[in-house]
Amino acid sequence: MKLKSFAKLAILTLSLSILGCSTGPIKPSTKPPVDVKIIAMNDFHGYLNRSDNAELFLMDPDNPGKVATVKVGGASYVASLVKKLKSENNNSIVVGAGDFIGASPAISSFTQDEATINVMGEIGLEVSAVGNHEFDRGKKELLRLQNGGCAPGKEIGRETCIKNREFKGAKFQYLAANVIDDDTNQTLLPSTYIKKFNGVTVGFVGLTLRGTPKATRGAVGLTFNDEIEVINSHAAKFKGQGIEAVVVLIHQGGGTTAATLNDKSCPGLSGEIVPLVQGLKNVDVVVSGHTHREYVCTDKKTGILLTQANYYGNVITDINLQIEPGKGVINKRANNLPVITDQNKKVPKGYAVLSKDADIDREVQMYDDLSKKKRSAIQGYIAAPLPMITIEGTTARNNNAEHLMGDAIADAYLASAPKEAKADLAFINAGGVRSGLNTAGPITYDNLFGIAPFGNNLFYVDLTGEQLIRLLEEQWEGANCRNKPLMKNNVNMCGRMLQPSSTLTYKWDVTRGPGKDFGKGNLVIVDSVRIQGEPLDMKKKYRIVTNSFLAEDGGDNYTVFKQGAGLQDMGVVDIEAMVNYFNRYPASSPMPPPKRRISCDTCPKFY
Amino acid sequence: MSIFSKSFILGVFIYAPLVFSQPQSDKLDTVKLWAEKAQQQCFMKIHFDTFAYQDCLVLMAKEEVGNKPRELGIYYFAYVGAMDAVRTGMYGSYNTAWYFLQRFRKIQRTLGIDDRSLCTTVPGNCDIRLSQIEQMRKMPQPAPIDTDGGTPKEKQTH
Repeated sequence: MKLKSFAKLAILTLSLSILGCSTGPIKPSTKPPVDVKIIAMNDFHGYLNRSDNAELFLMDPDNPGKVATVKVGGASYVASLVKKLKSENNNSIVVGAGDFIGASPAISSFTQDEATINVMGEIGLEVSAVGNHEFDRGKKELLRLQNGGCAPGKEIGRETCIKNREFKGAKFQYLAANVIDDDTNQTLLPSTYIKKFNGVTVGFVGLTLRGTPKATRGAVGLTFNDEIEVINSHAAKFKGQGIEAVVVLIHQGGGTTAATLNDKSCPGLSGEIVPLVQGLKNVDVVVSGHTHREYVCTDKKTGILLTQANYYGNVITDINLQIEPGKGVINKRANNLPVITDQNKKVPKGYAVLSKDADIDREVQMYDDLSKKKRSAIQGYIAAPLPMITIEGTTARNNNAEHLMGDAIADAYLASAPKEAKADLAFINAGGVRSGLNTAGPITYDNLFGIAPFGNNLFYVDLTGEQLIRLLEEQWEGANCRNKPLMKNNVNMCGRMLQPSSTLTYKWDVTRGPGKDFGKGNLVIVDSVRIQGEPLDMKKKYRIVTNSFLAEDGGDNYTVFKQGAGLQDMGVVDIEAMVNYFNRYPASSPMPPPKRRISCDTCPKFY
Repeated sequence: MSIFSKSFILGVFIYAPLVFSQPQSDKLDTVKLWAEKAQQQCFMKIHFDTFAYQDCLVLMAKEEVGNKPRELGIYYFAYVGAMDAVRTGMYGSYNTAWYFLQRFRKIQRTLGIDDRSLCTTVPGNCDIRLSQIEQMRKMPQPAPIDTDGGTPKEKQTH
């Protein structure tokens, strides 16, 4: 009888607990709850120095309804804020949601991003998800950044292994729970990270967006699995192991329509992260990234706390969890804190100006000096000037001209493609050529940066011969002409000319009339088109190398690029391509002026 | 009964707003719906760069030319979405916001929708938003971003 009653009670208790009902007063835990602080960042992108236009809008209590603008960012200020936050709670950890490196400015990219890896380690970053940009230089390079060693083919002490001629690898752990190395069938990097804090344990799962291969060329030989399945599997394991709190670090995000920092009403949250969070189980916090937005939200369906901290170290998320030992998270809150520099004279009430952390500042300064030296270093030589072609009587660039500098850049783009990619030709938009080189002789990195300051990544895109002709016609169609008539001898010489690599030559005929609607032009003399010396095959696919402005966005009204197939980020920044190209031309063998690729027998003498 | 009787006047005051506000609320529903569509279709493009975002919304609005409430929904979201980028200092986003401000204000005036009502169509703090609109309206047109030159120097990455 006693056993039967006990069994009934047990069944009743179990049923009620399954239904989520209380069976009476909860037995008080013998141990008090533990406060854990998680300090989170994302999308730093190597901005060791503050980005020039990094500013944030803050609520200004002294001016209700108005916002105040503050200057933010910079690694030495990030370090100060992290130190301050850590001093508030010994149970703290600094975490990241990926893209700490890649698409980074010279101060970091000159060192193969070792500078950022080192500085982030010094700041106290302990664990981070990988982002798509961590794969920009391929999996081997990512593993080198994690494990250490000098970059092959780079100059030790200047381009790699800067500190004491060695590179020890990241002090922090990268996680890649959904990234499988096809060679081993194992995750490329660990999936999880577990940390104990004074009697409670927090489990971290780190991963990147499944669509990473679309966002970077370097993600080859890897398989990216579904985010929700991977997270739920690890979170369930964590719970099974009695881990009290589960935090996801993921390089995927969304955005809100908030008007100021830290609007916790989280208005209009949208984006890929929303369905992702709603599909999660056993998760307490999601630290997100990728979209460069800023938010602190609580998902109504799951109760999951979702955060993102802007980009470039402009904001840090301060997440505070109250965890009951043996039970779980009983309270969670987060704030996005602006990294306010001491360049600000006045900040709104409730905010404080940070001063630089001296140690980190010294280290950043060292990398900065190094990059300045490299910027003034000679990268190659030219045998003759490559001047900018201007509109007659003005200093304005003539966009409907073939610029020798443009030709050289297109050649550099093409040369940056590995042979196995079998690229056929390259283009840069005329407007992308910011200046020329007016004297023969040495060229520094700064010279090249003045010509191509955009930091655009290069892409492959495949176009058929037919599409290529359409693309060339777009040079003189619609808005590329109509808005900018350029009369010479009663001929309208309007247009925006793509600067081609030496592997494309063609003729065009101005008498056929530029300025027709998009899709209607026929100025290119099709029979004249040669690719690598061969006549154009209208059905054949040609692989083109160009910058993200054209390839991704169809910029400057070159909409045909958007119709192309096989769009692929090469993981090469335009300036890197140019540096590598001019490196081929030492003083003893300077680069000869490029041969012209475009001709127009019917055009008035114009340049 | 005189048409100026107390009950008639009272009736006009009670019922007239309901009668006349009905079409306005229909308009606002349309504005809200198209603002949501614009958000779904174009918002995340601002993550790549402001031009891609702008192009996406302008193309979307072009397809709705003639349907003013729809156009207003698209352009109003376009402005609010751009301001989300402005508040975190994204290069070029101020120009984008300014561009869309001009567009939505013009249609807003045509439709006779007041600022507060319009604000409710896209979630967010209306006090701040209206104050920002007021401030931006007083500002001169910003210097153009040089789109000829490719993406801006400090373009956004992804």
